[in-house]
Amino acid sequence: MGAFCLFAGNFVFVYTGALGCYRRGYFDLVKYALLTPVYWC
Amino acid sequence: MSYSGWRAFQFFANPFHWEKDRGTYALAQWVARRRLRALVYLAAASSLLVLTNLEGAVWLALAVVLVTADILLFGGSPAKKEASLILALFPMLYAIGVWMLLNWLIMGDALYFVRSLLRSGWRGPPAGWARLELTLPEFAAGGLGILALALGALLRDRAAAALGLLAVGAPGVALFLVDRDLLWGPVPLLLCLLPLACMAVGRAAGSMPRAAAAVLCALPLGLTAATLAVPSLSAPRLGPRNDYGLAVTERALVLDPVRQYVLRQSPFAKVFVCGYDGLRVLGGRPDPEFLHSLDFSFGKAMTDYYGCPLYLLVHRPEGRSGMESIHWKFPGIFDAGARNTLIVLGGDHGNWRLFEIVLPEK
Repeated sequence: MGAFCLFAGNFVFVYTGALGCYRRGYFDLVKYALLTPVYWC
Repeated sequence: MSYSGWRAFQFFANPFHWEKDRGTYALAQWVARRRLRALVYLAAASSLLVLTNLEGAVWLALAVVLVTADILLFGGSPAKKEASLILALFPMLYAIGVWMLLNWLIMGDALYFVRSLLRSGWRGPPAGWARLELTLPEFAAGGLGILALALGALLRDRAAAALGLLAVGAPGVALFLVDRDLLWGPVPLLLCLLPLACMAVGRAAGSMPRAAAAVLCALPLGLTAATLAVPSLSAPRLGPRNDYGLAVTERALVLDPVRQYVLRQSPFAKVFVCGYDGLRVLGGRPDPEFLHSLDFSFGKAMTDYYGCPLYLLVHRPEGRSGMESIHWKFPGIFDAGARNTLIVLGGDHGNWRLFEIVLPEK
């Protein structure tokens, strides 16, 4: 369960951020949304 | 269970087919309507397909090429193209990364899952279409895929063309893998052929006049009804299904002489039959002398059966058999035996070679 949360949960958070940028039309920001874990650190 | 019934069971029992159909439908939705939801479904299906099996990954490569080409050619502004590509491909790349990480953590080698393919060197003679064991409905479904591809090109319907290409690509990928002896059988890929062809034809019919669309839609419906109503149509028309016969023949030719030989040496002898070929020959039945081993370990065998005379039955490393773990864990074992444990040749039996495991002197 812990491994699932680590791999799937963090991925979902990052991907949701990228999706939000795309949906709002901020296409330039999609690639930077993948760096969200760096911000978490 | 009949052959067609077995195929139907395999279709519904395997999530691979669900993901494949879902991904194909999402691909068509994305190409036709540019809906973000379709792109997310496609990305999710592709990441799950990567984690499913080899044939899924190879077929997926075709879908990825189609999506990438579509986005690059018709994806809008450069920034939007880049964003679409990231959303489409990132989940799949992430899944590949997780898979390699798990291989490294569990097996100590990030490329463990392809190690057998790399070591085997893809040996084996070209096999041709006969190895696909195509049935008449599969032939017809392939024809429908080609029809959808042609109609999509004529009507400038990119979604229909993409679906037709994916439907035709399924037997193409199956042939590619079977030809290189990388696939146990083409069934997992061919099972999806009819649903893929139905989707492709249905999509092409949407761009046509009503009467022509009705005729076109009747084709896959008739094919599906005929497949269900006449089981004999699902009998393979090309190539013999000889696995069962081969297993029975090998059982008689290999196991009986080996059993007689080892029992002459000792009534407590144990023979480890290695690899997936061993599974086929033994037929999954418990046997007092023969033990099946997919991942043989000398140390474990000698610990578990201490005091018993132990033998090893190894298939000749040809074609798919060359990918068995016994051959890449102990390179050259068939010709020269293993390095650390002395093995004395016990005899050849068809494509199998019998070794006796002898404890090294301390």
